[in-house]
Amino acid sequence: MYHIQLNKLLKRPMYQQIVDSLRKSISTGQLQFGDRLPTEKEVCELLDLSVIVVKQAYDVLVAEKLIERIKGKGTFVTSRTPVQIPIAQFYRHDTYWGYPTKRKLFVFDKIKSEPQVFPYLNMKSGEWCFVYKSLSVNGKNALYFQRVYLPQAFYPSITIDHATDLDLLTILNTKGTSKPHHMMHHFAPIVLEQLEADLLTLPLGASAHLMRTQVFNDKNDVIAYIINVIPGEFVELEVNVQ
Amino acid sequence: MNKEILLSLKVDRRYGLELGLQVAQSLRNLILENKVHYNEELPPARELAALLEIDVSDIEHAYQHLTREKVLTERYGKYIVSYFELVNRFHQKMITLHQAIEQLGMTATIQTLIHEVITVNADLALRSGYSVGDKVLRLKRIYLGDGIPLIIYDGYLNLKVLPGIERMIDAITPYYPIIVTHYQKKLGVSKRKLVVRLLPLDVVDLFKVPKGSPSYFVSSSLFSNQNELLEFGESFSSPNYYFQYEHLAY
Repeated sequence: MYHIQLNKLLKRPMYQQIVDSLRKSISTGQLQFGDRLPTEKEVCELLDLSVIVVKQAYDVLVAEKLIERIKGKGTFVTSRTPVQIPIAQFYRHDTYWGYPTKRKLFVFDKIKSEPQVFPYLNMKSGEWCFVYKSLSVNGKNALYFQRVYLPQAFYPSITIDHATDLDLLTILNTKGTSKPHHMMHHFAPIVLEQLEADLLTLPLGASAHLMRTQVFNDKNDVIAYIINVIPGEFVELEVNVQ
Repeated sequence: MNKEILLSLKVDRRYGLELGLQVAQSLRNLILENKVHYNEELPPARELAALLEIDVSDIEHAYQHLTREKVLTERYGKYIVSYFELVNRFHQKMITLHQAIEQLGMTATIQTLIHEVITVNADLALRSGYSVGDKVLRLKRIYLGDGIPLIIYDGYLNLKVLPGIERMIDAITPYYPIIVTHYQKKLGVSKRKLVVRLLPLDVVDLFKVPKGSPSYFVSSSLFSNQNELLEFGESFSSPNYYFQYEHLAY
């Protein structure tokens, strides 16, 4: 309730004052994605206001897509704190851009065909490739969903423990037969399908960055391929162009 | 269209997918691989059916399927490739939008929608780094490639640093050369932020793409090598616009 500050002596309408203070708490991150707001009734009773005033304030914030009413559950913050990621440092998030993330691994497999991916690895159907999929989360923000493809020819002995315990850069740099030399990223705007939307706790049809990375060794072989699906609106990719 | 390319369309009767969809899938791949190009006309269904030795209705089915996906369009009974994918390295090195389009092999043209001197308000000040009350030249422009709208750009040029530029810019020419030659400014760095948004309705109409299409929304601040803010801009690009970025591994 301390997120709502009112001054009844001011000329500014009460509902606007509620909107102002909640908007400020959301933009500064004091209120975060998924936080529950007090019910309209609770606010009325505590602040001695009429229901219409509080309803009007919440309606404005709903229209701005900062909050959402879920029937039977309450009103929740839907806006997320923006995250800025320098493009060239994307894979160094823990050490470089200062957003500690938790990673949850949910698929580890060895495959010998995937028509959407093998051409980017210069691989033919029948050759073995490790694949693992994970979701990285920063606080309440789902940051990205990632699929990592490591051809057995370059990463002969990847295990599920490596995929669970080691961050991607450690795997790329220490578990292969050659070292990464350069990376080529390919960015495309997409809308989320159901599975990815659920994982990233975003609505179906929300926008996303599709970031696909080819990792090359010094002989220009593609030694790894990574697909990241990153929420489009609140993850800002930064680049300085000279 | 090259017969060899058409013969690479693979169908397999033993495979569980109906033949029309198989043709659609491999035709889509040829288009994505840039082997069949934008604006190219596909052979009549009868001709392709004879070549692949399958029923003409399967080819018609494939063409109609790809038309619904907006990969093809039908014009006077002929099917033409309407999909194009624009990939470039626009965010790797400083080039103008005009140059970026030309690098894609297209003829670049410009249309100006808004050209006016305005006073910065609180909302723009918050987004741009200008101060409330600053005078800027607002230029809203559409950049087209081969006549197709590719980028809509809303720029705000700093009149404190570039006085009088509103009288030097015409409606159809890139203006960076004026900044460099007339004002003797050396371009320093362009700081950009990229998010993906669903296109607003007016832009959807402009790009002639389905409602709910995603697009890169870029905010950029261009500084001179003396660290003066020369221009702040915001742009949407066509949903077919992709970009690449390369760097050394770490």
